[in-house]
Amino acid sequence: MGRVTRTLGATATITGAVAVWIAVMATMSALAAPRQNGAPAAKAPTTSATTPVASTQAGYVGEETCLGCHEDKKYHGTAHARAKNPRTPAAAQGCESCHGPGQAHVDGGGDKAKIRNPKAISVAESSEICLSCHNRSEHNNFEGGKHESRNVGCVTCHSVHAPKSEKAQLKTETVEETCKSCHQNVVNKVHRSSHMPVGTLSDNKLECTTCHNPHGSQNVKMLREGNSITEACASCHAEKRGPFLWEHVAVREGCTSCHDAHGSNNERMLVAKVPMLCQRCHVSSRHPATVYDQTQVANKSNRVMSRGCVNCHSQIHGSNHPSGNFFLR
Amino acid sequence: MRTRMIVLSGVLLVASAGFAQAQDAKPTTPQVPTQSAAPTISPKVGTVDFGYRGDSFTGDQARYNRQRDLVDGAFLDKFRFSRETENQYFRAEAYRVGYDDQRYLVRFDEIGKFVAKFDFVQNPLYQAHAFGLYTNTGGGVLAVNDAVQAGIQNGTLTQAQALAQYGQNFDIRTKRSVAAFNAMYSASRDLDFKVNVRNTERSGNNLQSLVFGSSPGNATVLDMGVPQNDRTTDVKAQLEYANRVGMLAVGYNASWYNQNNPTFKWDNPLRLADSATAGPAFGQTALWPTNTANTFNVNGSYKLPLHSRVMGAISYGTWDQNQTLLPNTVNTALVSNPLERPTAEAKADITSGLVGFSSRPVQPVYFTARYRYYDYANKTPVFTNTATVADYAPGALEESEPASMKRQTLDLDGSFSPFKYVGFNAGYSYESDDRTFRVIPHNTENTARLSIDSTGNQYITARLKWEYSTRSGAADEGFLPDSEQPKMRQFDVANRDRNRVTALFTVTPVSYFDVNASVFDGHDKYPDTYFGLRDFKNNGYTIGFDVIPNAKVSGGLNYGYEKNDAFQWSRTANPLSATDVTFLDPRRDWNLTTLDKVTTWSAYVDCLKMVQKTEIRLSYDLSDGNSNQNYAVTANATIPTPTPYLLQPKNKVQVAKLDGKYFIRPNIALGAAIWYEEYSVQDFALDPATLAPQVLPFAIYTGYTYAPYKATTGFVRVTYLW
Repeated sequence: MGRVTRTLGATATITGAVAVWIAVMATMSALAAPRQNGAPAAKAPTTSATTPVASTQAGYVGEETCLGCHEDKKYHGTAHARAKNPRTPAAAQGCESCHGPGQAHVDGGGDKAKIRNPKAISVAESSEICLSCHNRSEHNNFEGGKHESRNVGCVTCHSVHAPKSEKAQLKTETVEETCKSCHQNVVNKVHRSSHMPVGTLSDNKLECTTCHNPHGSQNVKMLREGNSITEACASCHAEKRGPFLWEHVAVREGCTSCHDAHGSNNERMLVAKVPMLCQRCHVSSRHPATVYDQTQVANKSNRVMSRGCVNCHSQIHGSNHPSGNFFLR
Repeated sequence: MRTRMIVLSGVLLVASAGFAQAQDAKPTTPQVPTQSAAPTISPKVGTVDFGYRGDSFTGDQARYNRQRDLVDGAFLDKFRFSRETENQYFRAEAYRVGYDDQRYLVRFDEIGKFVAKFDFVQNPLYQAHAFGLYTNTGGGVLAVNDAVQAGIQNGTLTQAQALAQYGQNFDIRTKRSVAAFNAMYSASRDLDFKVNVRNTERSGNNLQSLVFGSSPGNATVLDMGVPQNDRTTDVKAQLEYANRVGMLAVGYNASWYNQNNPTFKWDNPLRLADSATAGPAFGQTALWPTNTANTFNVNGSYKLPLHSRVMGAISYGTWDQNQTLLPNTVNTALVSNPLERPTAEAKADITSGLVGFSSRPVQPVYFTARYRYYDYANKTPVFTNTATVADYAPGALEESEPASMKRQTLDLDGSFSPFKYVGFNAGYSYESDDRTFRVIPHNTENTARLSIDSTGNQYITARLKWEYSTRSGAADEGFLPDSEQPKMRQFDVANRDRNRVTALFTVTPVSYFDVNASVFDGHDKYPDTYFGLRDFKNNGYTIGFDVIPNAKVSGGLNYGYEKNDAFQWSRTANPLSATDVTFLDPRRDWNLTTLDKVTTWSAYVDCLKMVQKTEIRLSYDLSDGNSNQNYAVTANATIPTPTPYLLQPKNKVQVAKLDGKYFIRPNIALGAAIWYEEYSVQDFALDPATLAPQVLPFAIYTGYTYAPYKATTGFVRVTYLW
């Protein structure tokens, strides 16, 4: 009876904490400034690439007027400022490309309710602003993707006016720092003894975004390349693409059956030590199901020493040798 | 050589275009637009570090270097230069110039019209200082001195003596050199044509071991550095049209993997002459076969009213591999069974598709639906063969298993945000998998998920997610090998119940200080598995803080803990026969519990101009892992009680870096840095003390072990900015 009470108590505590949290957020929401649902939407830029025009359209005041009060919000020096690129704000309405027409805001003496401020609108609405231009290539799959469905928007990671990174206008100096704000436990894996050269400890030879597209992708796990985990890995490790004469079917199912791509303390980034990993799938008679305990270690069995099973079954990803049915060749 | 030519050509192509254009461009008269953007001319920016680096270390130098080149010497690093005018943008970067991990990047934009990028990077992988009997004679051949082969065969030389007298040092290392060229031409505001060409060369040697058979004398594991010499060339071309309403892209991807050494031959140190019973004089195997991949893809999206969007993608591709097959054996004392075909004829057709719809009809409501289809249809004809490896007498006729798989997934997600800072999300996924040659040919997986996200608030960000999924399918034990226990279920396809909770919080009470924490807990149960992985738990947490009181000082600390707990079951037995039924005896069952724990610390302090003209950065990272493998048997076991390991696996990696710069002038800084790294490890399988003799029963190893190291690397440098 007491055990049941403790179990229910833990559940009640967690539920209560979540309820309190929701109530606090609801209260803060009610007290916060109303959403700028009524803010005027930015019109689609209609001007030519080489002649940025703002104030000729009704409601727009032009960038110089904006910068007169908001000099610290310059975006010049970034890709957005390249007026020769017809896709940039600089080629269109400048600041008002994203913030909407500013006439009412100026006439209202800087009335914050009369201008679109990404900080004051929902994440989804602010993302819509960015996606009105960033709707191709890298960003095409953002809508409907994992990040968007969890209310992670463009401004969660990127800063238009005060980026800290050299590329991609991130709010942090590196990609790793951005990702670890939510995926700290995954970034920690990169610091283990067996890892790919990802992140700051490896001079950023690879980054999280080398394999993943944080804006969404056609592949699972937001992987950038291919349409399956195996295809994504084979985009760099093409030697394992095959197809092979003798397939190791676990490889076709997915590389992550055996490897942890983010990092591991085991040889070759395996999820478990060999031969124990192999014994999770192979229980046939004779040596696959042998207990490789300290006795076998003391006997220096080549099925547990060094790299275990792979000492003999070295073509473990698949074999193209006629006698490779057990991956010895 | 070819890579260097590609590098030179690419750099010249992009750089000359940039410099020539820059030379020709007339200076733009700064305008004072009444309503236009501020001038787009930006100042030149350049920075470069040059100096000298030296290190001192004890222990495993190869592991210390690993994927870096830390050889002592002068260096030129972090060269960055960019120049931008109203019409062009040029950027060049160079890192670790002249070292094995160097990188170069050049980019040129004709703004609004054309972008070209060239990237060259080398990634070394330094595995071990090694020692062995082999000499690389080129062409994928490793040879052993005939005196060794004759001596061991004739009994006048032991393996240990042979290694001592004829062994030589060599390094097990590879290098991957990648050169990539990207270009995009914008024919109009809405139309882009993109081309990407990437060439990857791999050279060096890779640690691999091979055997000649299973009988004594032939079951000797031979560790060696197998030569690597291959190239992958990837080409992508895409035409993309996008405007405010939609996007359509058509593309073609091709990849050619070229194996320059499809055949690997190595001498058998134990024999100089072929024998039908005692093994061959040399062995031969097939390395990664040359293969190609081609894919056509079309994807598009279209905006609909009410903040809705529909998107779709379809691709069709083929993977081909038709390498000439090697003979069953090169042992002249054995009969090499004829092959039923001369080449692999391996081929797979891959079809994939994705259809999605997302909508936010009213502000608080959002939903999305995605259907994904993936079909890997393996068209390789079944290959039937009687394997012959060294002393294997011709055994059973084996048939290959050209595995195919088909996966269909439906994801439905919806969120409701009644309050500004809170969103409630619910989702459901259905997955249906079909596969060939697996014990579970078809299964389905249902996943439910609930989450609450509290975002957009400057004080608190909180996310909580719970996900439950159940995977089920009927087993067909006919697909298990004859020797396999019928109740074995491979965990990657076995029926599974998965429960996961993740939560993360960031609290920012004041703008310059935040506390972050995350918790995760996952449990995979395999209810219908008797043999194999039955249970897996993964849980942990992270906690940390960041403090940034001003632009001159920042610091942070983070701690993480993760635990994995795996439980698997097996049975040790002989093959089932009329006289031996141990295969069916449950008293021979054993289980293994693997408990892995890892703690991670990360800390940093940056003081940038807190002291005048000085920048100091300090960081510390620690990853400390240990593993416990514990065997157990049933209460009435008829097998010996397993003996626990004396050395359970452990390893700890610590990296501390101190980097300082003093600006003697605004554009010149003198700097120094010191890195300290320490790696400590113990592992029952790769311990140097255990593998040090290299010649062990049924193995001649190269000396690749898990060995500790301590290393200190110091830099002195000048940073120049212009």
